[in-house]
Amino acid sequence: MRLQDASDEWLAKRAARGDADAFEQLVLRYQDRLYTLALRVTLSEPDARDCVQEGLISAWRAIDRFRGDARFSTWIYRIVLRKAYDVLDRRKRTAEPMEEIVVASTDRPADDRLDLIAALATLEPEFRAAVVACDIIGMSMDEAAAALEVPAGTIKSRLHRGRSRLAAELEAHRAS
Amino acid sequence: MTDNGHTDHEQLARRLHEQGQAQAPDGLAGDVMRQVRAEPRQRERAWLRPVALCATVAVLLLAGIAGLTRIGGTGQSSSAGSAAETHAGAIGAVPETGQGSQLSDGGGKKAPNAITRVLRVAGVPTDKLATLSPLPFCPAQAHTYALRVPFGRYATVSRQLQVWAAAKPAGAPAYDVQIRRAAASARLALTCP
Repeated sequence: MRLQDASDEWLAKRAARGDADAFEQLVLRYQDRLYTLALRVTLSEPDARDCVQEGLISAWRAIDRFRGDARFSTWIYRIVLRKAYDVLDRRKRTAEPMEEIVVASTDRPADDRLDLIAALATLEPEFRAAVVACDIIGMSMDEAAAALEVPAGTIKSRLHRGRSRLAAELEAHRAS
Repeated sequence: MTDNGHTDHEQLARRLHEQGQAQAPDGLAGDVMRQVRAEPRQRERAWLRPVALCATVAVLLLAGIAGLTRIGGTGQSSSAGSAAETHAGAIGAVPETGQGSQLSDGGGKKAPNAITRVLRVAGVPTDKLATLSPLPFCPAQAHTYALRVPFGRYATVSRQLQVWAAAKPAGAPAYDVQIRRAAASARLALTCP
């Protein structure tokens, strides 16, 4: 079987036996989604890069503990999300100034994309994470619940409230 | 939620999905894989983990079985020592090898262990017993005393009792004595059985 055609779980099993090529396939498959997840949660490119890199290395070290009863995607999302939350906690503790790379643009009216991402950045982290997981990454409620380690009902509520706030923020942004 | 609100949310979700994607920076995968390949894990020995687990479980099981067999072999556990002593006394004693006829043998078939052994010496003169310890007041019909003997004095005292019993003058008042081992720090004492 070609590695490109193999399922995540099959690759994870191979990786657990020390097959770095199988793990590389997983890295290539997930790097964009993981980076998006980390970037939209941490709002910082350097932090997002670190989260993904450290998360993937942690996954490689722990992949023999990955149980086949869960999806690999859920498992790897959870690892990277934990890293992202660690970044947010560290920031809160140290009052570290955040490099606002996603909301820094001054020519926002011309770019609808910036409006949306800037509005997303105004959400509190737990609401932002739910919106990012479900709407941007495309996780199901259950998968997002597993990745974020909260009940599915909580995800549903956070997603709804997050979208509502986002809509309000965009409306206010347009009005101004 | 109103239909309008629902539609708004769906539209928002679609926009987020379309516009929220980001691309991993160049070289991220390469950096990760360089690090991955630089720290080779000992995957080859991963199979040892279940084997070690099985071996541990097997050893624990064997140890458990061996322990149960040992307890079963002696008939008693050490924690039941006191009850075992009582039981041994009630059936008339547990023999110690090489003893004379003064040692009653209740016919116990199991070899006694050091914890449960109770030696019974019949017909020890009362006046001799009184030299060991004050005689307790026991029920009128009881003709038996229990003698608690510190561990280090067990052999000497039991031998002494046997000598006294053998030399008992005919018709002299006498008691049977159950000798029980006690901790080395215990005091030698006669009690009611």
